[in-house]
Amino acid sequence: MQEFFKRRGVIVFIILMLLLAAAFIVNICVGSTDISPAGVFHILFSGQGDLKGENIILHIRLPRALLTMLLGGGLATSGFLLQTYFANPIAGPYILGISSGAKMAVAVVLVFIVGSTGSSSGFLLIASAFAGALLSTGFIIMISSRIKNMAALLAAGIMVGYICSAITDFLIAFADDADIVNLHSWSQGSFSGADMKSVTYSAVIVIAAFVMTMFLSKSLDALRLGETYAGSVGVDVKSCRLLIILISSLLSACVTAFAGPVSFIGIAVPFLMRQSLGSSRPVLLIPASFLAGSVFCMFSDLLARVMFAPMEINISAVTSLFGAPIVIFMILRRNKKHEA
Amino acid sequence: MRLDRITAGYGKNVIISGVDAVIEKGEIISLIGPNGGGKSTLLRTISGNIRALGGTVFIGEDDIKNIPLKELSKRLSIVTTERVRPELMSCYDVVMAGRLPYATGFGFFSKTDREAADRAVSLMGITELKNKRFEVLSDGQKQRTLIARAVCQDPDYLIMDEPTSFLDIRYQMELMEVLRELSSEGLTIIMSLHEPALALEISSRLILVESDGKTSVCSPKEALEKGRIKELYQLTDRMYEKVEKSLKG
Repeated sequence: MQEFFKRRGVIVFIILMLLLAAAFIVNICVGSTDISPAGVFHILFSGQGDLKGENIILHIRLPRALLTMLLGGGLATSGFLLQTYFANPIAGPYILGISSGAKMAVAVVLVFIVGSTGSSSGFLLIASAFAGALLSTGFIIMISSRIKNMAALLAAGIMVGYICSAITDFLIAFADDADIVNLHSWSQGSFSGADMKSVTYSAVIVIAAFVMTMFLSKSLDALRLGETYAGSVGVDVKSCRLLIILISSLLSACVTAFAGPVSFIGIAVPFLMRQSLGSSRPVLLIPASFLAGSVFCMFSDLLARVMFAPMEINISAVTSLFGAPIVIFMILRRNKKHEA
Repeated sequence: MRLDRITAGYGKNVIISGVDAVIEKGEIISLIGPNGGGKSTLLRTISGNIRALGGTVFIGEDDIKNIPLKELSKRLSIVTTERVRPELMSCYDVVMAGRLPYATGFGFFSKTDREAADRAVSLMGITELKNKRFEVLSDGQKQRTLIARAVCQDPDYLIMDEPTSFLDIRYQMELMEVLRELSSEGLTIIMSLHEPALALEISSRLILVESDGKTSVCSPKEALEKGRIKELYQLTDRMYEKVEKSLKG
């Protein structure tokens, strides 16, 4: 049995790596301009080619692929953390209104600050998205400390999401057209704006958050048996919970800042990985979720930009289309288990 | 362990007060008393899960408040009445969770850890359940798994709230045997029990917890001879007659 799970884990990780490599290659090779794979690799490795091709590969497709990979993994990790925090497999940054909170804060900044001063920076966007994410997370924690009921908590999260969206809509209604253009394209959720600068920013944040999460894995492991037992095996539950919520907010804020709200990856991916590994051990589940999140996000982004090329659809449309059925399946399964 | 004038409760709500006791290594102490008297609250305070409202719990020479959590987790383990619902964990995974204080930084276990868990598994008679999913076990099997978890944590003190709940009569007897064996190896056991008969049989001393939160320490013999069980549970004469018969066997 033990051996069986070990082998199963190895196989899952190998498949994930292969899929990730495949996703990366396809993302770089496919696009509205035809460049042969050989040409693509020539440009990638030598850094030179005809000007147009070089531009497309190095300044459009490569950063976009990297950003999708990083942020997809970040989203899945964030979802995993929130699920541990709320001891609820349906928790995720999008459902709990955390993405909407980040979006609202970015809207405020875009309309009031960028609109009036005309200056914008990646750092400013991240900072405001982070503030927004923390704001709605804080609100949800406040509610969850009073209500232990899972359904009520989810309802509260969805309401937070609605409130934030409403405020965002008000801002759009009263803002100048010039600012709205900016906000509108961003709030759809898309990786089309990727450049190397945002890749660098998010690489730093996502990798740091991932490493921190890995260092929490032993505590997260203990938390599987609930807080009392976790405390009794030496986990400082309070600070661990604080770290969990900070890291997951940071991750969803980072994603929202660079790509806008992206739905369902945070819920669907950790669930899928738990089932494929047949285990809920964090030390395996965290890296598996990260990899799978990257793969899921990269293929979704690919579909978003090639399905109706040259028109791009927003990425949430794709992730929802594939993610929502997984969530429904998950709810059905849970019910079945409770009946049995 | 020494309990020094302990007042326990939640916030301003004092549930139990004036607990004084010196507990020697290898003792088995049972808390008995009516429902709602505060047995669980006292156990949670002794195990450091909640802070004492007044007084001090000494583990060895140290005030429990000053012992770092990591250190405490190697000296004291617990079984609570709380239901746990871990996802996708086998029975053995749950037992192994008791070895987390000894595991590496990422939660990997050594051979010693596995041996300790194996011993606890065979002590509690759950070898056949090892690879079963925890969720599908019966309540009694879950209870034995959780006790195995606490045992393999290799503590000096084992603190259990109603360890016999969900156990049928045979497993209750077996558990008592195991506890006796562990205490003879030097483990100190403090637990609450529903069945006065079991408590009288196995304990070196009893802590009686009355419904108003008053406590007193006595030996099983005293409890029986002075009719203190009757007072404690506020039994009528007719009831106590029956109970006494069963207690004296």
